[in-house]
Amino acid sequence: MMGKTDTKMLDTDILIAGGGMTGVAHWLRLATEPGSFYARTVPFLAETHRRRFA
Amino acid sequence: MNISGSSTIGKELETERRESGIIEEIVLECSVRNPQRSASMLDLILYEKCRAEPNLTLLLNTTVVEADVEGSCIRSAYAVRESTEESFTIRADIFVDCTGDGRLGFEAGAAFTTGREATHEFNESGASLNRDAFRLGSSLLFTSKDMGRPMPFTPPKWARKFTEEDLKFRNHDAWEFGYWWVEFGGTLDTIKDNEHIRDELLAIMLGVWDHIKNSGNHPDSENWALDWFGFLPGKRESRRFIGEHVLTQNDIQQAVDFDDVIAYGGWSMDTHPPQGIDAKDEEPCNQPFTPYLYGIPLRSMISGNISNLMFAGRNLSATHIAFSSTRVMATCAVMGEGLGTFAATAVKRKLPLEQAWRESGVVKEAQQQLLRQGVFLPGMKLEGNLAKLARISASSEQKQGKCRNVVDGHTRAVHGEKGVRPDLTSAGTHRWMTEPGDGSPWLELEWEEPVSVSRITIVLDTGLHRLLMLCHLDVLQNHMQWGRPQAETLKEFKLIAHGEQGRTEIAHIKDNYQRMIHLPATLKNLKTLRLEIISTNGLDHVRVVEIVCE
Repeated sequence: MMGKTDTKMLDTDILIAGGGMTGVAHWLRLATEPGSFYARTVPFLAETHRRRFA
Repeated sequence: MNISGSSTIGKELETERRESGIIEEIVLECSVRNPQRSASMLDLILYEKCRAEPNLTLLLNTTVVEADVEGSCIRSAYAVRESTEESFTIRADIFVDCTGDGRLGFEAGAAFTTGREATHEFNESGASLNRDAFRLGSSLLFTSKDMGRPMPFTPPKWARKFTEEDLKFRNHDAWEFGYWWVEFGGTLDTIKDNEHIRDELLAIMLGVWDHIKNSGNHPDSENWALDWFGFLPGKRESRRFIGEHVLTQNDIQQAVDFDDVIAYGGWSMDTHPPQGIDAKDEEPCNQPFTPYLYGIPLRSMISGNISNLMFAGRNLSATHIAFSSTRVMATCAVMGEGLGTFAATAVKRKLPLEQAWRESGVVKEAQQQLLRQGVFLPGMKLEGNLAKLARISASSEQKQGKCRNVVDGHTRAVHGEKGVRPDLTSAGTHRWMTEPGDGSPWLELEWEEPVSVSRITIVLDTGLHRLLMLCHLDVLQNHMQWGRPQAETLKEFKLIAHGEQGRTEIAHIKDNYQRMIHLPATLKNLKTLRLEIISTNGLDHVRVVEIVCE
């Protein structure tokens, strides 16, 4: 068999890259105000679940 | 891992510094559902929050590796997901970089800086005479357990060796939750040298544990054993983008009242020697607090040279000194909510980012939405509360907790020491507090002219003066009300409306532990709204911070 990696095309209003606490807090409220907030599709790219330190 | 923020200091009814909004919602839920303090349970809560959002496309384990830029505008980001052998080209109107290292913006050619600025660049007293490339280092933590029987430890051959003299400035008397000062890499490139930094941090971390277990200086550690330790360096500092505003030490020390304030911070200006644990003759940190909680402007999250790029978190546009305060996770979280809300407002208005952030009306709309969501912005109040027009009565009230306080627009007390700038708040508890002996507490709003209400928001007291975070360090844990709801919060209550359809019970909330109660409503010709409280989560009197009718 011969193989090739698929590339998918996505369209969105807002792309948020990041899976730390900033990214998480960022996207959550985009979609939790039905009717009053507009966020058609918001890809969330968690590069890794980072743990950071004070 | 500790989600540190502004709440390391505070005083009840005077200085309430803990972050609210989404991060408070997550932390309160984690406290109730995770008394065992499992890190995996926090992951589960975050994962559940993702799955609960119908408008969110979640691409876990997916990394942005390229950006397609046309002129000064990002057209698409290219991302790969190894777990499914797929890649994605994602087109968007607004791109937001919350990656910490700033990978998306870096690939797009966004201007950034690294290292430490010289004093003269921004007139910062905390900066060095000359600019250098040094950063805050990275850390590896561990957890350990008392196993109840002797637990020998044999370090790998490559573990470092430490003496009590080497660690004289680094307290290591508690063993359950590692040490942030196991720190290395501040003199290196914390991105390009990350794998080397990880290797060295493992050698350091295991060397410190070897010292505790085998040096003879800590015989009480005999029954203790490592339970978990990280292989992913906890990175403090890497790239900082150059935005429309660069946040400086002077900004945060003066708590500048920015028109476009979108978040706030309050962690100390926490700098470390770049040599980390190898700076054996130095304290591992210097932590002067700013006089007040300070605002963070939207413009420090707007790229200076890429027109549709925003950023928040570690890669904020800030100097090294300002960053040393903004970098902690709870502050990053409120930045994220602020920026996300602004981005959504721009999209809702169908405005390109480069126009939206310049329009004060758009910024104000986002700020008002943030306040509605329970976020705190120094000096700002929610407008348009119909409850302010009502006559307010209650079953009882304390002198410092008048029932009228529920419409004063303040959602926390921050007039005390290390609160906010005096001209940005007013003194008072800013909440209704009943007499402790009040057996049937109630509060009623009565409108002379009936009103129509489509949404009711009740803000409750969750003890924002206290520390509350998932934490494995027992000495900090003892300062929290962890594993249960916060005592001040209402547990069970009813809301009863009297409108054109007569008297109706519109909500009966049970087992509540959250701060923000959002109730969609369709109430026309509303004459009265009555709150009847059945129980709190332990406090001997009722507290309600704010009632908003819109």
